Amino acid sequence: MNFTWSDAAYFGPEAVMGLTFLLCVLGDLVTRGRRHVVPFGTLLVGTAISLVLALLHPPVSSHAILGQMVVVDGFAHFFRLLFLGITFVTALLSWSSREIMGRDREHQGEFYALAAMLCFGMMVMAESADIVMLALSLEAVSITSYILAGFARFSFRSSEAALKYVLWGAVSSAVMLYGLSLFYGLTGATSYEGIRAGLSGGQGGMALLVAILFVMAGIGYKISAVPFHFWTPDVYEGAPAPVAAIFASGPKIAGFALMIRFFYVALVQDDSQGTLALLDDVQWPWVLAIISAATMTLGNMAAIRQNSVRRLLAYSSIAHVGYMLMGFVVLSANGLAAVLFYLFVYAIMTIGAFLVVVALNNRVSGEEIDDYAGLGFREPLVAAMMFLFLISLTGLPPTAGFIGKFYLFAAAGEAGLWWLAILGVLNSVVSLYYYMRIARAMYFTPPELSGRVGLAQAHLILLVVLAVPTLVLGVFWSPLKEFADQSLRMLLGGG
Amino acid sequence: MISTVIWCLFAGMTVMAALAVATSKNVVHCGFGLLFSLLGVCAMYVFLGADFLAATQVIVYVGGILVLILFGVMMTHRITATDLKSELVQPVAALIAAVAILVLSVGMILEQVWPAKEHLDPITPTTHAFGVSFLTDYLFPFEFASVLLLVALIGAAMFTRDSAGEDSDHV
Amino acid sequence: MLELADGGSSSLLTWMTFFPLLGAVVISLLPSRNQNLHRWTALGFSLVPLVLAVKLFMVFDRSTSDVQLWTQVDWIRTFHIQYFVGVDGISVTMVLLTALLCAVCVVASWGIQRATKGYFALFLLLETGMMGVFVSLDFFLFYVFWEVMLLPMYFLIGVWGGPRKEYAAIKFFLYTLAGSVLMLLVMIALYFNVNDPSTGGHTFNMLHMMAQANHGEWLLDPTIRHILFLGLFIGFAIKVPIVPFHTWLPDAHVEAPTAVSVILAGVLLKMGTYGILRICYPILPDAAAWFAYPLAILGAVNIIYGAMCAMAQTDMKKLVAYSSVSHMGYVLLGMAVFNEAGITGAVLQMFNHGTITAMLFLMVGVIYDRAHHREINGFGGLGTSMPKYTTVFSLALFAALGLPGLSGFVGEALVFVGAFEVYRVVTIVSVLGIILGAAYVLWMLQRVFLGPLNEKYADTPDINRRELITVLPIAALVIFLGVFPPPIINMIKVSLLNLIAQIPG
Repeated sequence: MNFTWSDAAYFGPEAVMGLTFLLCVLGDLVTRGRRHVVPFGTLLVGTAISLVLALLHPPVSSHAILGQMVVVDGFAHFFRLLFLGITFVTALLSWSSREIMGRDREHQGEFYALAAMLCFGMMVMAESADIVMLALSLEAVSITSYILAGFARFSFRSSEAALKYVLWGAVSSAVMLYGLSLFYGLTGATSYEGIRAGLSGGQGGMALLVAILFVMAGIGYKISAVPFHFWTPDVYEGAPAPVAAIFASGPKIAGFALMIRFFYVALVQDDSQGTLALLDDVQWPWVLAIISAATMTLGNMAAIRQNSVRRLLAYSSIAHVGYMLMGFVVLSANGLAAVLFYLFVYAIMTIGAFLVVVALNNRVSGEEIDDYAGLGFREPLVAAMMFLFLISLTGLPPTAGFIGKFYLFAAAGEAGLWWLAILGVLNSVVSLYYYMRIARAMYFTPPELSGRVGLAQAHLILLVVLAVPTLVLGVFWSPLKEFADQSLRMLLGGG
Repeated sequence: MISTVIWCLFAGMTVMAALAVATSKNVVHCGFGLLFSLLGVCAMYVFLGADFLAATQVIVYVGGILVLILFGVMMTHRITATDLKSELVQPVAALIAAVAILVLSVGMILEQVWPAKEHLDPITPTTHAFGVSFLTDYLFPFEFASVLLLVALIGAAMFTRDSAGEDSDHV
Repeated sequence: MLELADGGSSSLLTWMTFFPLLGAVVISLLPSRNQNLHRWTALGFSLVPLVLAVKLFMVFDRSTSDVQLWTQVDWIRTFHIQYFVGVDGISVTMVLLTALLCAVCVVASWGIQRATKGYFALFLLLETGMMGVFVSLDFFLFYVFWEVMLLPMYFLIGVWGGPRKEYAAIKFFLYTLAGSVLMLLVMIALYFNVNDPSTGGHTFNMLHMMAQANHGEWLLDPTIRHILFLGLFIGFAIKVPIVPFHTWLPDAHVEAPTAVSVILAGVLLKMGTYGILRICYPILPDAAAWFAYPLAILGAVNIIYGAMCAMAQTDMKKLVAYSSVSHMGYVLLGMAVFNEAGITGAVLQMFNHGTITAMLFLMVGVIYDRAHHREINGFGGLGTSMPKYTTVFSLALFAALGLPGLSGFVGEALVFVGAFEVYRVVTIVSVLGIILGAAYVLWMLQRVFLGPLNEKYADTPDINRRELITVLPIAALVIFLGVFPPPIINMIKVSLLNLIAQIPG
């Protein structure tokens, strides 16, 4: 029994988010679901307090707390800032979205409660140090996501999305739990450290391979890597657009955080030279390299054929997972730093692109690429920022996306994975084609209607808030890179 | 020896019942198949000396969830007559996946030497230990799970509650 | 080996590069109604680099191969990226050409009516990108400018282009990006295998990359060097464009508005050959020697294939576009021989082709503005109705076919002189290109300007004052350099001699 009050200091931001969830529920009950501003305000205030707490007390060393179930370290800190930021932005974005707050909608109060819970779950995912917590936090994020996916419950597409999501989720969770139980069977431990200690004796063999593959199935589903990606386009398309924005950023990033911590703490050792090595019998880099290659290629190939902006973004988000996995397989601090950097940048540009979809969805009837025709002349500012997000997603300078991809390719190259790097850059070229289809509609096609579209003021401000870092981080990115490097130091041990 | 035979019987029952769930077209049959499958799993737990788990399995799954499902089925109008099964989609991919998992699992079971104990200790009650663990070392997961259940509850309420806006929105 | 000139630090190039960017920002803040305001602002911001270019021409030290007028500032310290710009004999002519053509093209764009604000802002952004490519001496910086230039080009073709603009724009974008991502990978490979002699860390500094002593062990393997050379080469070859990577060129050139075609042919194509001279040759000189013969053959293929395609065209602009392919072949042929005449001819030809092809595109633009088509067979006898226009256009066409006394001749002659010593057969075949060139040029001249007057165009107004302002300075330059090329040759000579000294026999 080793709970202390000092744990609370480290766990403050998470505790606040948990509390925010309960308060949102309570606030909605007290106001009988009529004053949505109460849960909305609670969420914003809670997130802000949590953010302040996190910023005031950045962890200076690694702390295993709450019965060694979670570890608060620089890595966790990086991700909780990211999740809190995502929650804050998406909450604001939802507030002025017709799909969530429209007159005919219901349960708006619960929406903000669920957003708080999602954030809480994602933060715990990034901090889990025990397979019990791994499974629980993953499940928490999944269940919350299912509900959010089906949020517009009388919309046929939304219900279908939620159902698909649940079915895929249930299967992959089950497979992953089986894999986790194999880890326990092999080592008799549930903590990551214990698993590594147990595996150091060379217990591996086939069971270890199966265990890794099965755990990958669960995580692969969460980050939508091929071949566990089938749900992604349907869910992104069926769910309300703000929810799709959350899905494309939050849970996916949390999946990466969880994967990195699990694999690097449980299956890799640091040979005190600063280089990382796999435990005996562990063979995941090649498995993941193949998944990475397949994910980016299939994601991009499928995206080419899409006519709906949202489906296109969904497939492109799959492709981006492929790029990021590239940095994950190279077994180096540089590779992981590249992944962290990219996750940060990816969150900004993806939410930005989805925000444009949300903002237009309030006004323009369709979400086909053709519906964006002439946007560059009707709404020059919005179109310019959409274009900025698109070239950032493609990975062209001077945007943050280019720097992110540059670090990923550099990491792959440094590790000698040239075939993967070449595949990565070729995929970037392919992606240019479909991103530019949107740009083409916006700028090259004359608008069918003239006059301004008229977008919500809040959305315009948010767009600018997201566009500025996309551009600035493309020109001067040292602070973010150093933050990413620093965040990994405690995780990988050494200095 | 005799225990092995009994074990095999239960194992067979679990698998056969699960197959019935997967193949039967009648919802009621599916429900009963599930009953036997879950009971079989419960027996596995007993063999492994997991008394608390076995009891929970019976109370929660068999006693709670399954009965609810069957009630739901029987009280819903004419649901037994409806064909709930959909067509078999992508049989080739499914077959490949299934065979791959089977080969991997069987290979693993045959090849692996597990560090776990060969013989179990005489059965000792585990309930007390569970209780202590839940409120000490595993307090956080325990609390976290309870919050998770609250979320699930909210979700269930959201999806099932009748609403005034029911026919105002068909996107 | 390339070194920094002592005390040569200067901010001149930074001003030349970023002043247009400032202009782009200013224009995008102007009210969108007042089109003349956009035009004059753009002209103002593009004249400043031109004035600075004149200054550059004055202060450039022709006696050294060192990098001059450089600026070196840390940009991203953790990844050894610097803001490092400077010029030497190889890049200085390109900087001058860019400044000149951009100012001319702003005037040539006066007739643009649609969304002038966006047009001129993008145009100035393009100038920044091109200027940046020619002055960068840090590979990362070079790459950033290289890519930044693609975006405005995509829009300039796609929004203000001709009927098939969308296709042409995306094709251009995809081709160039495909080439540049290969370059990106080679850049990463070089970064990790070149050591900064002063710090021992990795570096993007091109001067360090050029010093062979800094190359790490992995980089010493000839096979790897050949692969890296090929990766860079393909990236640049798409830009040149070298056959068979040329198919984007006719589409882009034909669909782009006149001024953009001028920039495409006048400056962008040079980036490919400039990249080979600046990056491929000095960093991997042994691989360059190894690839010399294939390069010469590619040059000959470009010359002949481009000329033959040009002959088959009925669209004037397409003809000019293919003539560019042919003329870039001379540059390649000259670069493939590492002797003084050949490589000097190549760089001279890069400059001269920039001016000549600019004239050609401008002239095609003039007739297109009046007739709204460019069919060679749709005209006839324009010499009688538009005498001034005919004079200028003929001058440009004669320069293009390499008439002695005009600048095109000097470069081509030097290339052939240099190449004949080394690759006789290839050179003899290439000389056929001159004949083909004469054929398509004269044939076009005859069909458009001579013969009976097509009554439809009897009342077409002759070339006006604004159009003359765009073309006359270039024409003067073409005649002057045809008669007296030393001003350019003196600038480039020392650096080129230094470059070929690096390349093993």
